[in-house]
Amino acid sequence: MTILRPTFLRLRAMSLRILPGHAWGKVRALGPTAQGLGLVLAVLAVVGPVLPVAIFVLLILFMIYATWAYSINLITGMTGYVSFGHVVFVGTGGYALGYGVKVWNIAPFAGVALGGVLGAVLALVIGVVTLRLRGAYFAIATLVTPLAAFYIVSGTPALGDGSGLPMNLGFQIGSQYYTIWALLAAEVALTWWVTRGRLGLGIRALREDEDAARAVGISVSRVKLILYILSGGFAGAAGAVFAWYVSGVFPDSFNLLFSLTMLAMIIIGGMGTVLGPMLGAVIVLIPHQILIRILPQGEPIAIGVSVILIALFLPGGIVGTIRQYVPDARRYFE
Amino acid sequence: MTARLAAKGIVKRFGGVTALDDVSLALDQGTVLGLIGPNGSGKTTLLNVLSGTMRPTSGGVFLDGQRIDRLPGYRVVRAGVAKTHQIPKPFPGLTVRENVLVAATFGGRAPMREGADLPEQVERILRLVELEPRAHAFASALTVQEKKRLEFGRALATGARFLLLDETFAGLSPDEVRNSVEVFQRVQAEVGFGAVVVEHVMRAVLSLAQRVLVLEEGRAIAEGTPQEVVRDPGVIEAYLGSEATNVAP
Amino acid sequence: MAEVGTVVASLVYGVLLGFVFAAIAHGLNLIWGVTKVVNAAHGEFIMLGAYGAYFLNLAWGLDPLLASVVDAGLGLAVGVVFYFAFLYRELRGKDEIGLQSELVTLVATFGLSLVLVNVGIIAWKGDPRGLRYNPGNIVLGGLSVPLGGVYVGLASLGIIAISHVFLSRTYLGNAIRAYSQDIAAAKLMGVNPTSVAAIATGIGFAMTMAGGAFLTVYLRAGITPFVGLTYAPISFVIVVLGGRGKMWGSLVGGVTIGVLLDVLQVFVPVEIAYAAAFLVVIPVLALAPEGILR
Repeated sequence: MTILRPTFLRLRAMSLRILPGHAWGKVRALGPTAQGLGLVLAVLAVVGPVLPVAIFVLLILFMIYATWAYSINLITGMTGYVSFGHVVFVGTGGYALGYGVKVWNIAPFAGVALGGVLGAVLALVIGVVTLRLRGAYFAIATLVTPLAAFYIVSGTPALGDGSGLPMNLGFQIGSQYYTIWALLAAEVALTWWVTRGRLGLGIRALREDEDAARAVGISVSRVKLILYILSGGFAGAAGAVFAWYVSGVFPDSFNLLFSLTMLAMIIIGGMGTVLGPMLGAVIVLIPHQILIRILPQGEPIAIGVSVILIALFLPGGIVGTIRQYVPDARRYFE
Repeated sequence: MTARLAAKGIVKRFGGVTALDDVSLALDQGTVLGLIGPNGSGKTTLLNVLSGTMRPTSGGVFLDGQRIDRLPGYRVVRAGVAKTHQIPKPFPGLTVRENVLVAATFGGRAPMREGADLPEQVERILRLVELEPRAHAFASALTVQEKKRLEFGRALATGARFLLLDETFAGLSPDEVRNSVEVFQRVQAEVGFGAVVVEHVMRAVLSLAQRVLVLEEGRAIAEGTPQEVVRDPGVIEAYLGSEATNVAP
Repeated sequence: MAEVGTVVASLVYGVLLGFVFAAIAHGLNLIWGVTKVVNAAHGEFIMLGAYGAYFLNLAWGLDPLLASVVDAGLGLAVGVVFYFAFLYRELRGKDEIGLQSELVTLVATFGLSLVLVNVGIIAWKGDPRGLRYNPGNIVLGGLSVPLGGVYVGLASLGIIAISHVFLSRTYLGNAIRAYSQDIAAAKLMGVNPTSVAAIATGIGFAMTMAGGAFLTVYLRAGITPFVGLTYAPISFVIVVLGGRGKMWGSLVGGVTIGVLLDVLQVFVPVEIAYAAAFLVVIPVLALAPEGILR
C-alpha cells in the first residue's frame, strides 16, 4: 500500500491544511488523481514566470501537447472511436488565429477563441456524418479530412497558398503561457467531470457496447457528438495557441504526424483516463526534447515501438495496466 | 389505469421485400403476448419496430395512445419499452451490478436522476434475477444462462412497463429453460410488466403467454389463446406441421 | 477542340493511373476483406515496395516491371511475418472478428507505420530519389502517352486479374474466400484458419509491394519515406469506394479516383482536385457504406 504513495502527496497534504476545514474536506473528496493534477496545474501557474525563459518556453509547448492529448482522449479515449484525423482541428484553429490576426487585426486571445469555436463547429459538421460509422470506417473518414484540408489551404490565396500565414506578434510568452494553462486546466477539469458518477458510468457503457447502451436508454449519438465537439473545440483552441507560439501557420499544421503523436500519447498513458493523457504527454515530449538533438528519428521510433507493444500486450496503457495489476494502487487513479 | 402497448397496421419493406404486411397487435401491462412463426416470418423485425430500432414503412406504434415509432431508440426505452437481445450484449468490462446500475440510471423517465432509491432498486433487481452472488463479477465472466438473466435484469432496471424478449430461452438446456421460465413468471408476478415474447421453444411460449400471435411471411395469420392457436388449422399447416400434436395440451 | 483533346488525354492517363492505384489498394482490400482488420501501416509497405524497385534498379538495372516480381516475393514473406507478429494474437480462435480486435490492430499497425516511416528517414534520408525508366512514348490518336505508364498500368491490371483467377479457381483461393465469408463454416469444411489468413495476408502484401514498384513510374517528385502518408489514404478511399472484400471493387475504385484526379485537374487547381478525391469518401461512407458496386 505504501510503496506507491509518492512523498509529494504528503507534502501537499501539509501545505493544503492552511485551507479552512470544510474546503479541505471538499478537496479530499476529489480523489488523489484530481488532487495531484490540481497541484501540478497550481504549481505550473505559480512558478512559471520565475523559471528560466528556456524552460518556460518548453512548458508552453508541453501544455499545448497535453491539451491535444486530453482533446483526443475526449473522443477516442472515452468512446473508442479512433480519430486518425484529429490534426484537422489543430490546423483549423491555427488558420483561424492567423487569418483573424492578419486580416481582421484581432488580438491573439480573440484568435484563440475563434480557433476554439471553429474547431467545435468543424467537429459538429464532421461528427454528424462520421460518428455513425464504426471502427476502421470512422478512422478512415476522419483520416481524409486533414489531407483534404492540407490541399485546400495550399490552394487558397486568402490563406497564403502553400506558404501559409506568417505573423509578427512579438514575444508574448507570458500571455501564451496563461492562455494555454487556462485551456489545459479547463480540459482536465472537464475530463475529470465526465469520468465521474452517472455520466462516467454511461460513457463507459457506451464504450463497451454501443447497441446495448442505446437499449438501456443512453442517448448514444448525442453523447458521442457532444464529446467530439468539445474535443474539436479544445484541439482548435490549442492549435491557435500553437500558431501564436510559432508566430505563423502553415499547411504543415495539417501534418498527420501530429495526429499520430496525439494518439500515441493517450495510448501510452491510458485511454479514457484522467491521468493518462498527462503521463502520455510527459513521456512523449521529454525524450523528444533530448533526442531531437542526437537522433531526431529515435524518438518517434521509440514511440512507435511502445504503441505496438502497448496495443498488443497492455491495452490499458500505463494507467489502465497499473489499475489492473496493482489493485491497491487503484484508488490513486480514481 | 394499466398501460397499453399497441401497434397498428405495421408495414415494413426492405427494398422490394415486404417483411411485415399490415400487422397489428395490442397488449395491456401485466399480460404476455407470445409471437411465433417460422424463420423469416418477420418476428424479429416486428420487435425491432416495436423497440424503435427500426422505423416502420407505414403504420404506428403507440404507448398509452402516444406515438413512439418516430422516437430514437433510447427515447423509446425511456418511455417504457425495453428490448432484450437474442444474443445477450452485456457490458463485458463492467460488473454485473454496474450493468444493472447503468440501466437503472439512464433507462428511467428522468435520466441522471439522483434518486436515493437507486441502489435499493439495483439490489432488488439483482435479487429478482438471482444474480446477487455474482454482483461483483465482470459481466464477461458469466455463463450463457447468467448473461441472459443479466440481459433480462437490465431491461427490468430501465423501469420499462413493456419488455420485448427476443428468443430468451434459445440455446438453453431443458432444465435451464424450466428454471428460466420460473424466474420469468415470478418476476412478472412481482413487477407486473407486459411482455412480447418471441420464442422458438414452444412449451415456454405456451406456458408464459396469455395470448399468441402467429406470423407467416410478414402477415398475422392467427391470434388467440395458446389453446386456440395450436388448434387453428391454418397455423398447423403453416407453421407447426406434424409436430402440432406434440405441443397441444 | 483542344479542350476535348485535353480531357481525353487526361482520361487515358487517369485510367492508367487508376489501374496502378487499384493494384496498391487491392493488397489492402484482400487483407481487410479476409481478416476483417485494417493494416494502418499499409502505406509504409507501398513505400518499401517503391524503394525496393529503386534499389533493384540501382544495383542491377531492373526496370519496375521486373522489380515488382522481386518485390512480390519479398512481400509474401513479409506479409506472413506481419500476420504472426500483429494479427495472430488478436484473431486466433475467433469465429467473429469484433470491433475490439479491429481497434487493437488499427492501433498496433499505426505504431508500426510510425516506426517504418522513421526507419526510412534514417536509412534513406528525406530527400526524394528518382528512378530512371523511360521506354519512350506512344502516340494514340494524336496524344502522346508515356509507355512506362502504359506498361505498369497494364501490369497492375494483370496482377488483379491473376489474383481473381487464383481466388476463384484454386483450392487455396476458395479456402481464402470461404474463410472471408464465414470463419466457423470454413473451419467445418477443413480449412485451417491460421494458415489461410496468414497466406492471404502474404498475398495482400505481395500485391501492395509490387504496386509500390509500379507506382515509382508515376512518382514524378521522386520516392521519399513519406510516400505512404499520401498513398495509404488513397488506398483506403479506393477500397471504401469499391466496397471492402469485393475483388473487382479495387479496380472500380482505383479507376474512379485516378480519373477523378486527372480530369478534375483540367477544371480546378490541382490542390482542389486532391482534396475532392479524398473527401469523396465521406458521402460514400454515409450513403453507401458497402461501396458503389452492387
